[in-house]
Order: sequence, then structure tokens, then C-alpha cells
Amino acid sequence: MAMDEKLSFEAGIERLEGIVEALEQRDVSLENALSLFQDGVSLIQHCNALLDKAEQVMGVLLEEDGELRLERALPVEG
Amino acid sequence: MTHIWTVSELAGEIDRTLQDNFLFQNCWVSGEISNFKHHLPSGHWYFTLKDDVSSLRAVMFRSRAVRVRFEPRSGMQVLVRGNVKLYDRDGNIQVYAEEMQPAGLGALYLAFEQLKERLTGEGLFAEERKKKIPLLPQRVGIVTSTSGAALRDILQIIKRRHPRMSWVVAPAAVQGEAAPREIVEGIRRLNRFEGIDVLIVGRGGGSLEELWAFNTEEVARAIAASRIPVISAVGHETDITIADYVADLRAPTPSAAAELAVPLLQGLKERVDYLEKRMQRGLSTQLAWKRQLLERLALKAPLRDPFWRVERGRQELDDFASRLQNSMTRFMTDKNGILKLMAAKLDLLSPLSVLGRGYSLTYDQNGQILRSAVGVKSGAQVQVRLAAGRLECQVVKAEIRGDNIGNG
Repeated sequence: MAMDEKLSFEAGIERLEGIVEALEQRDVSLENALSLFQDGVSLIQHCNALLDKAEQVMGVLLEEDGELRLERALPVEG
Repeated sequence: MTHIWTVSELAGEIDRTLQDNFLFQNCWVSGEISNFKHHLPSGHWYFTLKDDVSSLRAVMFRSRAVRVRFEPRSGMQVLVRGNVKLYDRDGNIQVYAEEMQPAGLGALYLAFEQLKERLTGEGLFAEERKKKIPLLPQRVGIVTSTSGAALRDILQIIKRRHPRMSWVVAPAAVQGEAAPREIVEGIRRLNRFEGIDVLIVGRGGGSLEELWAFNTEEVARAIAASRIPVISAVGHETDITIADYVADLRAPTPSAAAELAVPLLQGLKERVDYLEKRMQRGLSTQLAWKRQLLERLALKAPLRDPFWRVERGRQELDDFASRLQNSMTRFMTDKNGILKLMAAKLDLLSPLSVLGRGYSLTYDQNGQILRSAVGVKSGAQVQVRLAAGRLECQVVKAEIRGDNIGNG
């Protein structure tokens, strides 16, 4: 299954829950089980990628003459 | 004929007339307190409201008085909300106070109440308008003062819950005259910036005047118009502002807003791991079920005619195994050892495992499978295939037993 890159974490988790529930049913054909499993593996990879994402855009958003400008800031000390 | 009232009938009629007139019910009156008495043990307040010309008796029952956040005294200018009724025992018309504010702030409260009522009427606070806060935001937008403690609190909480979470601050004055305009601009600016999917709008606690920007119509409308869901975070828990009513979610403090906006990274990881384990277990169970099915067949047929089983079953098994094999190859990318799990399953489905149960295959010199002793001569070379290894054999005697073959 081609994974939609824009799929939200929330939607991913919801679909994953659906797959797990389907796989726990007794009347699933082998083809179906394998294809569900394969979809599930993609979803897990997608969700983990969203969690591991290290974009780390942190800053102050300013506006000058209608133009937005992000002034990067260092992450705060915890 | 002229009607003659009893005193109580007339008093009752006067009271009804007062109560039927909406101008006298739930009305606001400003005046100076005099003759203030805090009656004990009842806890009711009795006082007179007066101005230069007139005076009116007033009472505030304990259940309402406990909610007043200051101590009224004689000589104080106040704003009172209440109902006008006749106290029939004395024949006095009294104001039964529901709410009381000191005069200066009273105006603010009045404005607050009026705006709240108007925006409620417009449906701005309606539940169905509220947008959902995402479980895992991509970037958190924050509208607050960069010099306040609120921002520091928010950023600390974000970092603690999700160390790599992205955030963007739109600086805005949160008190004083410029505050409403700057807060509105901040909300709009963050709405124009890419990737932000939740907003925190707020400031730390303060007096009613200090929180005032969050009670203005322009801020309320900017929050309502925000494409991005807004979490309000104004002051401490007791202060509810118009911004709180219109926001998609209300947090009691800026720190609480950060907790509502940003999930615990660890918690989400555990959730994914849990689903992954359940999914693997689900597939294992599926394979076990399918295997049971196959084995039930395999155990029946070979007892009657082992080679029929091997030949016919072999094709099914090969087919089955290669489908599994293909699928498994597609999972190679997965790093979590799912493949190992699958390899164990696959082995049980192999035709070799039939041999593993003690069956063997016999081939003639041409490599053809032997299904019958008919045509096999004494001294012929045959090959026996076992689960492990093979045997080169010489036939000592070919014997055909049983009725199905006859005396060849």
C-alpha cells in the first residue's frame, strides 16, 4: 500500500487499530491477513517516522511590510 | 362596584406587577451602599442603595454573598445585579441582589457580561464550532509576550514532553492598549505560517484589568476565525475570559495549555509498540489457525494413501509456501525481526516437514517416484529420500500384499 506522506499520526494510529482488530478475527483469509499485516507494517513505519521527525523549527515569527520572517531561537533549557 | 382589597391581596398584586415587568428582573443598578449590615448567623447582607436623590432597600442572601470577591462597606460605590420585589411584611420594595461588583470594575464586568451574551447569541461559543486538537502537532504556535513567565513555562513543558517538538512564537503585548491588536495580529500571522496545527493564546494570571485584552471582541473574533485550533491559556484557574469561551479548548494556565497541545513522546511510542506487538501476535495466530487446518487434512489422507497426499498436497504446500515466501520477502525492510518469526512458521508448511514425521520417498533409477512394487525387480537399484539425507538401496525382494493390487 502506498503510504500517504500527509497522513496524520492520529489517522495512522486509528487505521492501525482497525488492522489489528481485523487480524484478531477468525474468519480472515490468508491473503487478507497478509495484506493487512503488510499495510500495518507501513503504518507503523509511518507513525514511527512522525515520532522520530527532527525538524525542530523553533523561533519567533516576525512580520515586516507584510513579509513573514522566522527568527530562529535556541531550544530553551529544560 | 368598587373592589375592596385586603392588605395582603394588594401587596401580592403589587409584587406580581413588579415581577411581571422584565425591567425590574435581572437588572443592574449602580449606587452607594449605606447602612450595611452583615447579619449573623444567617450570613445575609442587608443594606440601602442610594444616590443624591433616592434610596432603595437591598438584601443579598448568603448563598449569593459568598460569591462576592470583595467586602462591601457603607459609603462604597457598587454595581448590583438583582431582582426588584416587594417585601410584603414591611411593604418595602427591595432589590434582591444576585451579584455585586465595586463600581470601577463594575463597568468592566457589565461590558464582559454584555459581550458574552451577544457572542453566545451569535453561536460563537457553540460546541459544534470547536475544532479538534491534533494528537501529535507538527508545529505549535504560541501567541504571548516574549518577556512573560507564561512563554518560559510553555516552552519548558513542551521540551519536557517532546524534546524535538517545533514551536513558533508570535510576540504580542498581553496587557495595555496595544494588547488586543497585537494578539489578533499574532493569531493571524501564525495562521499564515506553514505547518502550524495548534495555537496556544494566553498569558499568566493577573487582575481583571490586566486580563482585559482577552475579554475584547476583536480577540474573540480572531480566535473564532482561526483556521488552526486554539487553546486558550489565560491567567489562573479562577479567571474565565471571553477568549476561554470562544477557544476550541480552554486550559486553566499556560503550562496546562502546553500539556494539552503537546503529547508525551514516550507515551505515543509505547502506543505504537503495543499495536505492533498485537499485530504480530494477530498474524501468528492467523498462521497457526491455517496450519491447524492443513494438518487436519494432512493427518487424514496419508494414513489411507501417503503418496497421493504427498503428490497432491505437495503442490498446495509449495504454492502456499511460495506465497508466504513472497510476502515475507516484502517484509524484509522491516527491522524488527518479524522475518525470523515468519521463517519458523514457514518451515512447518514445507513438504520436508512431512518427511520429518517419518515418511520417505522412493525413486527408481530414472528418478521417478515409485508408487507401487509392481514392476520392481529384485536386485534393482532404488533411492530413498528421507527428511535428512538419502539412501542408495538394492531391492532384495519385491512383494505385493493386499487385495488392491492382486498377484502381479
